[in-house]
Amino acid sequence: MLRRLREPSTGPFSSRRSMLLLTVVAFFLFAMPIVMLAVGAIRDATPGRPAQWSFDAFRRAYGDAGTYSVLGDSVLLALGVMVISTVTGLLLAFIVARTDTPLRRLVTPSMMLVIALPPLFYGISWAMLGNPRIGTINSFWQDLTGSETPLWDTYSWSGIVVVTSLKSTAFAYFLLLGPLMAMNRSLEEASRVFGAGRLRTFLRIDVPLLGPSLLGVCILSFVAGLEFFDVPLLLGTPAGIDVFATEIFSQIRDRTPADYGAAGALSLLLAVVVVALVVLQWRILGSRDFTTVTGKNDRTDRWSIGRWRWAGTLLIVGYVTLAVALPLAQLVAGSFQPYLGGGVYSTINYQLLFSEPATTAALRTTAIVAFVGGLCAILMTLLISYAITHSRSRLRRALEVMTWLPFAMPGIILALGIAWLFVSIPGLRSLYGSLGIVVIGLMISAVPLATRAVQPALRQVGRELEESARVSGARPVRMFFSIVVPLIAPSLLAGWFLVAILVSGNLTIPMLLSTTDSATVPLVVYNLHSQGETSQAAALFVILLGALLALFVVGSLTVWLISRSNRRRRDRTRPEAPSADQVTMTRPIPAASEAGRSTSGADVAAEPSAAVPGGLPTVVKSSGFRREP
Amino acid sequence: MKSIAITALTKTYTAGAAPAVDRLDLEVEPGEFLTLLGPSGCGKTTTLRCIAGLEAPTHGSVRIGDQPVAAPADGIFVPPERRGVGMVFQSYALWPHMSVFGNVAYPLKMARTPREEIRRAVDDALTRVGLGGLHTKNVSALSGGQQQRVALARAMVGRPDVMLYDEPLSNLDAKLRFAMRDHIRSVHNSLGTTSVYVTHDQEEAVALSDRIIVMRAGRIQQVDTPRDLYTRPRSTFVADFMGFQNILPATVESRDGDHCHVRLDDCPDVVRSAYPAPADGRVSVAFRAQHVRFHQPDAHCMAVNGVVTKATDWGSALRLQIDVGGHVVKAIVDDEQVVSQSLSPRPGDPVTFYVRPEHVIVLENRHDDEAALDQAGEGA
Ligand SMILES: Nc1ncnc2c1ncn2[C@@H]1O[C@H](COP(=O)(O)OP(=O)(O)O)[C@@H](O)[C@H]1O
Ligand SMILES: [Mg+2]
Repeated sequence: MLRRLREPSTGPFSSRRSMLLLTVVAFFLFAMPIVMLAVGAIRDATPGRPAQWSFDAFRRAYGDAGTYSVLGDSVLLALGVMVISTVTGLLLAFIVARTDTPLRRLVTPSMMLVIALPPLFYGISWAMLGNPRIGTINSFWQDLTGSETPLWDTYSWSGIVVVTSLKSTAFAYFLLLGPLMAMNRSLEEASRVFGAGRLRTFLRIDVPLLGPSLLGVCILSFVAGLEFFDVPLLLGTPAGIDVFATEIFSQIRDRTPADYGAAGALSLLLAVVVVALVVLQWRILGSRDFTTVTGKNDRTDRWSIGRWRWAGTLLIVGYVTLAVALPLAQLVAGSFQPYLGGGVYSTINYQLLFSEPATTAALRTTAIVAFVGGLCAILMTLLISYAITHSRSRLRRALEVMTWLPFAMPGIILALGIAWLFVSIPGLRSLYGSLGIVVIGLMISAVPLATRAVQPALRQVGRELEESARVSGARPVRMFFSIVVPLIAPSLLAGWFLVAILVSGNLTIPMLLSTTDSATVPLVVYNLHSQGETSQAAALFVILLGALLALFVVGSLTVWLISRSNRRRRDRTRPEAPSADQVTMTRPIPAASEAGRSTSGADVAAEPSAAVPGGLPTVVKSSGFRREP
Repeated sequence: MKSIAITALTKTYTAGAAPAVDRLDLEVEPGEFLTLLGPSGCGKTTTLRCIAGLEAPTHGSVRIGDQPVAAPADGIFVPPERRGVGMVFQSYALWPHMSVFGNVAYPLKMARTPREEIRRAVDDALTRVGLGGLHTKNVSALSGGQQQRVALARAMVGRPDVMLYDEPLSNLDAKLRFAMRDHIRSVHNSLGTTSVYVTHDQEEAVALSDRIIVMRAGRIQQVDTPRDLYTRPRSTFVADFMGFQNILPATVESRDGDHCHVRLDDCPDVVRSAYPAPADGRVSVAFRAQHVRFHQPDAHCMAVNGVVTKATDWGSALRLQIDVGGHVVKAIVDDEQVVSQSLSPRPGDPVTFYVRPEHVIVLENRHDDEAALDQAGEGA
């Protein structure tokens, strides 16, 4: 009957032993790839072969003057992306949060779409739009004006910067929307009362108040600019433009034999820079953890900005056109043309695709990988997040840091590290080239997003709901599955769908980890495009987007149905407010219910390829104020 | 029915900080209804959670019956699910994804009770709390009072040896609180469990308990029956907490065996207490505002003179503030006194008042109490 235990724990997975186990697993999955990369960089042979320690790879990588010019170019690119996306994101967020600009309701849904659309989508569609010879924009322009020069060649620095910015603007937008909405209106009014004009008020009051968020967003977009891989690969490589991420990749693809050592050596530099910046950004944004909470959106709370409204509308229309309408239209239209920029519209591409067994195989692979990888990511995150919030062990800090690692790692480095890891460890080598390694890779890459879906949900389950189950005689594991899991089921499900959607658009991981047998749709799309079959690539992408759309509809419907009943319950489960005559000695009940209510709205993960559009369904918060350990 | 024995219980949450519970010793008799009473933050919840197994003590030990359930020195910690306790939480802590039946049946399911028996026991429990026939309802469709009754039914359905309550009534409005009190006490009586109840509301504690423990900053201030606690607090802190509106500085004038006379500070008047003085010299005198009289009840009562500074008519009673040598004495004069003596004091009027010796408590001045009184005075 007696158990020898030092500390009580409300739930399972948080005892010292399970913490140790989880930490080991997390270390293996999240930290080992980077360790292996470092190890690989100081070995003088390809992974899995016997080798000597040597710094040769560093000499090869960093002795080359080309490396520094690529590095410099990458920094410039990242700076460009940072400026454009922060400014555009700030303006759009301000318009939506604070003004009465027409069409402002269009922005948030468009931004969610931008976040959900994979970077590869932007690469392909803008390659089709801005190809200097046959790109739609340019041929239209040349037909119209008779000009010989293209209007805008997107196979260029400007192309890469602008297209990358289109995508990363969405992250800046969501990160700034929350602070802007929460901003205290009376501060602005006070400034106006004392005679400052609108513009002065914006510059003097809003911008300084936003300072920390703004700085955080700048760093984050800079990092995104450094990490972007898909867009530079599609738009830069044909024009001979290399950025750091594609340079790493070309060490493997364009060298025979592939120079894994040099790729690893280059990766380490990028990894160090990115991790340093991300840590800096965490410091600045503090504990907000990228989840912004939107305040009430009161219509009377808006500025009438007069004629400026139309400038705002123009910005909205411009952004939505470039980031959503034009690329989508191009992709769909292009998929019905036999070759890019011409021919009679027909379904020939689709027919060709479906007659090819590889296509259906890729679709099947993608479905499996997305669902299994997504499920693994969600379950893994559930265990880890639960353990972190419930354990009092010192290991929980280590565990927490480890789950952040894939967030900070550029995809290409993560992929490379995972490849190294699996090739180097004898027992795991057989996995290399299998579907399993792709699933694991995508799972690791999805953990940051999954964390953002699972953690807020977990935080909303009042500790007393768990404790009362324990006192009622439930063992920890039993309590977890009969109380915690059912309560957050809608969020888990929503998280699973979201992760599946984002995972299925990932190109970087399959690029390094898939073989022909385990190719996913993005990889096939990329291969088709680089073989010149751009129309077929577009058609395949349209199929993928269609499937994702269907998934999204089905998923939202399911989640909505489940969470509707839960929400109804939640609204009624709040205890009444304490009555007035009770005030004498009552300890004030902290704003637990407040917090519970405001978590919907834009829950956004600022991971460059991940976000949680739409308020995830929130769950029950028992109104108690049990403290965290 | 089991006893609970707590020995030298200490709980420190953050190393270096003051302990939330400090060397607490406590015996709860089998079948007793014991209340932990004290202001917010004094360590009541922590003590209760150490009994439930939701918190592990830093030092000391807890026994339920003759079984030690927590004794860090011996490496003993029995998890909550094996302690045989039932608990009612302040927030109700009902599971919103289950029906009323599901909530109440949960403890029995965990104990692998046969199905028919579960049904019978749940029926019985719901009937006891006056919720018979609500089985299939969603818990969220219930009012706050009903939800807390479901929580009570859930806590007692497994016939635990010990019932624990953590401020179960503080989220309810006044009327529901009265009804719920009766449910709690009748569950205790009819099941014959041992109950430990936590509250910051002295009235609630007095109405429910067999014995009350007043806590402060993690320590016990006084242990007594409700009557004794209500009439004879042993310190200015407890007096203040038990609702003595008047606590005045004074000096012991004379001690005569089982009673004494004390002189109020800055005032020539002397009052008589029917209790022995706890100390010589400086003391505090405490009496309730309701016990102030404006005619002499008997010859032992001694007159105190003062000046009315404020008079507020509350309809049912007249509330006065009387200046006595620069100190404020509060008086509540009920309707009957007002009418029978045709009182109509106005600010500035001199008055003479009396307090029966058995209503006058003489308290030792303890250093740590002064600070607490200052704080309490500001809050009032
Ligand atoms: N989990 C915790 N971590 C740190 N401090 C705590 C925790 N729980 C309670 N405390 C502190 O311990 C003291 C006693 O708290 P508690 O037992 O909840 O008091 P009560 O129930 O009497 O209001 C308070 O000062 C409180 O801030
Ligand atoms: Mg408490």
